[in-house]
Amino acid sequence: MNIRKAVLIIVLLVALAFISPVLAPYDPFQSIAPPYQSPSLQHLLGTDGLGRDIFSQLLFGLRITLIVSMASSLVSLVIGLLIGLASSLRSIPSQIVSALIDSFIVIPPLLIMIFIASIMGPLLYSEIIAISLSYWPQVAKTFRAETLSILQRAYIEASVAVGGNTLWILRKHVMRNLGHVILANYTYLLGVSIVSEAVMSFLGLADQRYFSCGMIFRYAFIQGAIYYGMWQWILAPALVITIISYILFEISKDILTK
Amino acid sequence: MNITIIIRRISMAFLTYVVLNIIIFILPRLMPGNYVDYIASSRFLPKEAVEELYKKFGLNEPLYIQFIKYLSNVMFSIKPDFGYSYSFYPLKALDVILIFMPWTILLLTVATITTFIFGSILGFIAALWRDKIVDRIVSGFSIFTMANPYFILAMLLLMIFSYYTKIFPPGGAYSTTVQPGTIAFIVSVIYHMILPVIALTIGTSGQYVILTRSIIINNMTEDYFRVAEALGLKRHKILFEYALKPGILPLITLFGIRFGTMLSGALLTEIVFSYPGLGYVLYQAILSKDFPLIQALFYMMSLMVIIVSLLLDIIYTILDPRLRRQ
Repeated sequence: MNIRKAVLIIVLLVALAFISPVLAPYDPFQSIAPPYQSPSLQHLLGTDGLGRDIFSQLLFGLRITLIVSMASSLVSLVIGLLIGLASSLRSIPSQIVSALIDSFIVIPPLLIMIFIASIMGPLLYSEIIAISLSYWPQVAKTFRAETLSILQRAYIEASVAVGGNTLWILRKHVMRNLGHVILANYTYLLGVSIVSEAVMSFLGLADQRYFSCGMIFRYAFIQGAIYYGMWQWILAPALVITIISYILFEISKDILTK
Repeated sequence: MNITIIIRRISMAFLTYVVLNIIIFILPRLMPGNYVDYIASSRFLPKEAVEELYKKFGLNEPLYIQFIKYLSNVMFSIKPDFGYSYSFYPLKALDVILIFMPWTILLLTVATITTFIFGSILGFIAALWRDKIVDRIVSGFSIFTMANPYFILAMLLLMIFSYYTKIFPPGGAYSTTVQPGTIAFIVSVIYHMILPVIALTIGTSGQYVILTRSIIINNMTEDYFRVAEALGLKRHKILFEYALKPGILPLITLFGIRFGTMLSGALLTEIVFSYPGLGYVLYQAILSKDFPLIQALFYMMSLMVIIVSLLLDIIYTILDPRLRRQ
């Protein structure tokens, strides 16, 4: 049931990424009204410091945010899965990989993200690489724990006894039992990446040619939304990303605890 | 033996330090182009200037020489040298960080204490009324704060308490009218710190609340807890002595893991409140593409996290009676 919910929400998010810019009433980059307008029927969330429609920015931003977070969660999921599997075998290289995961996990993801993104410059793909390279240790750790517990089971022993080699066991037994963990990790990563994207855009590490949800916070902060008292400028995108990632976190937790 | 565990922890921390240095050394060199090319392309520098920059950063030397230089300048050096900061020019990157770091440490120390109190109380409440409506609200709220970029709460607090009601100052760490060293200065520092600390506490305590709750619930299913219940001890006494107290040790290690999150949260909160700590330095460094400073920041902050988690690990091994007896 939870798995169906997770798949449903991911499909919905993909659809949202496709649809949302179409619904936008204005071009998010075009100045079309006086700056710092309060919400009205023409401009549901008012206008920013350059007279651009914030509601349209939010709709366009949703697409970029979702694209970035989906791509980066996929990359970090794959990296984490491979490294997690590699670290769970009983051999010396695995021990080394395992130690590397444990040492990498200490460094806060945000710092790695900022470091990588600032080396590569503010581009869309550097943002994706930065996010995906900072969350894989956590993913690898959960996969390692899960694989180790699967490898303890009786049918693995039976499989070894009849002569199944390591790769075969990993493919036939471990991978098939990891399905729900993969999904749970993907939904978790998706939520984390949405938040990370917002943080990176806020810091000015994102591509300025696109609008993302985080970019709206950046403009709100730079253009002084706080001192114009424009609470909707901050609250609306905040609610959008918080609610999306909240749902993703809850689903991921439900899949794992079931 | 206790010592072997401590030695293992220290060697693990050293491995993390090595990994950190490998990241700092290799990643900039792995990327297509390097930061000199990046500066050159974004500022339209002439060719001679680019060559001069290459020489200055030692980028035209073979990789192994660069690595040896890195080892002696940064990794095994007591005062690592990342070169001059562009945005604070006559200062070295590391000196800039050392100037601004005390404010971040102050903020983090206070916020750590408040998070510990706030998080434990909320986690305790949630565990006490497990699966009741209070628990639902507290747990839901905690996950909600995890799903929230740290700076949003800071911006909203600033708007409510500084713009609309004008209770708290709009930013900075102290007001410029007071003399440092006086009591008025300390009062002003505390007054300026209240909003950032609230933002940081609420923003980063989510995971802490959830883990506290699960640790306490876990302890409540232990046999000794049931025995205490069966003996007819007072309920609040059982909860405090048998559910919360054994949970304090795991909570200490938890803080080692949480410290990285706290630090990240502090950086973003500082930016919003224009608090003169490392967050401000980071923002300046990104704004002016100050690569040596970003490198030094990454190095110093990761080092802080490594040291704090090592210390907490060691404290844990010393405090835990089970490990002491072995």
